[in-house]
Amino acid sequence: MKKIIICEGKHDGIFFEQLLKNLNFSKDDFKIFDQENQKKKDKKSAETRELNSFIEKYNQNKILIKLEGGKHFAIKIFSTNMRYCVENISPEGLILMIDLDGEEVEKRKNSLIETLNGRMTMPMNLDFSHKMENDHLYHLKTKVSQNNSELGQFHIILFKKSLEHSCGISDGTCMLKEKISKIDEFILRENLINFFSQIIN
Amino acid sequence: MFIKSVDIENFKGISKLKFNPKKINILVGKNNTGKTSVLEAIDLLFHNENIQNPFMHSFFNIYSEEKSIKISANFGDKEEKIEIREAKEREAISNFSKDLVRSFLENFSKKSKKTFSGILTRELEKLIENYIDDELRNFLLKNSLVLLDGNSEEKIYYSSYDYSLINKIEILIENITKNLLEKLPSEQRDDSEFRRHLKYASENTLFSTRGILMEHRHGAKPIKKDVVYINSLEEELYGRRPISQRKPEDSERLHKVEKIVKENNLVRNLEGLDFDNVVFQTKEGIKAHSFHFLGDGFKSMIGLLWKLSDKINNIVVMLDEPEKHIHPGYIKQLMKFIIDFSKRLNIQFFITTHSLDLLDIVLSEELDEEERAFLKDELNILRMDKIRDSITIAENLDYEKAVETKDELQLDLRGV
Repeated sequence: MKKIIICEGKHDGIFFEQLLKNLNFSKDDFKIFDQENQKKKDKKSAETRELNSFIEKYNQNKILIKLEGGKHFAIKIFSTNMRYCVENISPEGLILMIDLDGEEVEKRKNSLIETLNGRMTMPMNLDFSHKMENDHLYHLKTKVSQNNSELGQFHIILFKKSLEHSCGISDGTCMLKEKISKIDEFILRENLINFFSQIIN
Repeated sequence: MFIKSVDIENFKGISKLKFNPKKINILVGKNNTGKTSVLEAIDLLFHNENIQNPFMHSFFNIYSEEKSIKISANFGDKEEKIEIREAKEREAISNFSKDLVRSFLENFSKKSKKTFSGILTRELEKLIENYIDDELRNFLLKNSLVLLDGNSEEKIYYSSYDYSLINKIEILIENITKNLLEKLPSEQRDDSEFRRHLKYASENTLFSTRGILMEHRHGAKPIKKDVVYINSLEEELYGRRPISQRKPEDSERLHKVEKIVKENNLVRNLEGLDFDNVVFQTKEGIKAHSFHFLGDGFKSMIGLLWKLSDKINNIVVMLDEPEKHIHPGYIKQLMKFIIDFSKRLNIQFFITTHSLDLLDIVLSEELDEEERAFLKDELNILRMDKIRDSITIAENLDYEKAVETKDELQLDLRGV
């Protein structure tokens, strides 16, 4: 059951790497694709190539973690690729993880609908039916439909403030080792293995 | 003429699609997402007779239980719409009977019409219906579609002409003629001249019935020149008739094309154009180049004008993958022509493409300021997709959103 995770940036990449290790995934089970790291001339085709290769049967990766270079890009790329993902990967296999940065959940939901429908010829309905939360995170299970036809489902993970805030990563935290250790501590402290196990497994 | 909105339901691969076109509409997406079907649907709306083709039953969306197609387009002050459905058995038989009676009556001279004046049309229809056997009945049922146009006029179209039916229809006509003869007094029935005449009329009826079944192949219907569907630009120029068989009207038409090019200054320094040579005014003086040595972009533009030369202003043009057979270097030239035509001649374009070069050009800085300003207002990229093979999903990208997707998000505009 393949999954695609769309998230903001490098710290999210570390977060999922640590989380997946804790969920007993091996290194070959997932791949981190950092859009910012692509060579400029390859950027456009790199994403298409990566997604097309990921869905192939011969590709052993179970999870593709896409780092989009910021919240703005993550939301826009999610809105653009959502159709492709719900169509080509497992049901509920698409996950968007972004920071709320203190913003209200309702406001974020509306702005996501607005971004998505700003591009569509006919409006899509998002039904955020299932909400789970802990001190740091919201989990929204979302059904997407158009013209009364259900198109698929996906998950949204929202950090109430930010991943960095929750983990205690500040601008002064420069060392990668230190960042990994803070993120790992956060995962274990908040029992995120349990929180994410039903979303990712 | 400017299409402001298009609404398509259950047509071919399209489940439901509604969008608001602009002056230049570029349709992108993977194969089988319905790009060409959009062009065909718009074409069908204006050329209803194109429904008559051997594959007309494949017009229905296979994923929909509802065998009913709806296509409409809004022009601001008016709306064109059609609805297509399968014919019921009664409608298919009755329509064929009516067509056959019409053929009968058209082919009988005054003399025989007078002879048969006692036999009412309705009686003749009934007679035909009685002689239609199961095979012909099944053929008619499977190959008849009802098209309801905007004036609420219902018309039945046959899908194809099947040669195996000739014998069936021939026997049918023979039986009816025999039956008609039996109804006549014996002296008239035995009149050899009358019988010869009747035989001739029967043969003609068979011929015109074939004509009805394959009406579209005779090109009997007028083509609406405001809406033009072009499958292949090169074919428009070369595909129709070999050079050796060109007729005077071809030269007249090319002269018209030359006039359009010059009047609109579409090719700088053009002095003259014929099928063999293109003459330019250069710094060194007049220079002629063989037509065939000129770029594919130039040839495609001439092909486009060739097709449009009957009517060039205020029309809708649909181009299916114009990049076919064109080197990427010439696509730029072709697209510049298209932008220019659209701007100067008020042509609305619907273009399907798989070409990244074509998309790059319309969004590139290489276009001049005037062209870019035009596209900022008048470009719409319709990105089509399918969910579970059956649900059509489409995105509208205006110039700004397309540039954002291409340059800022670094995504392939054609979709993954």
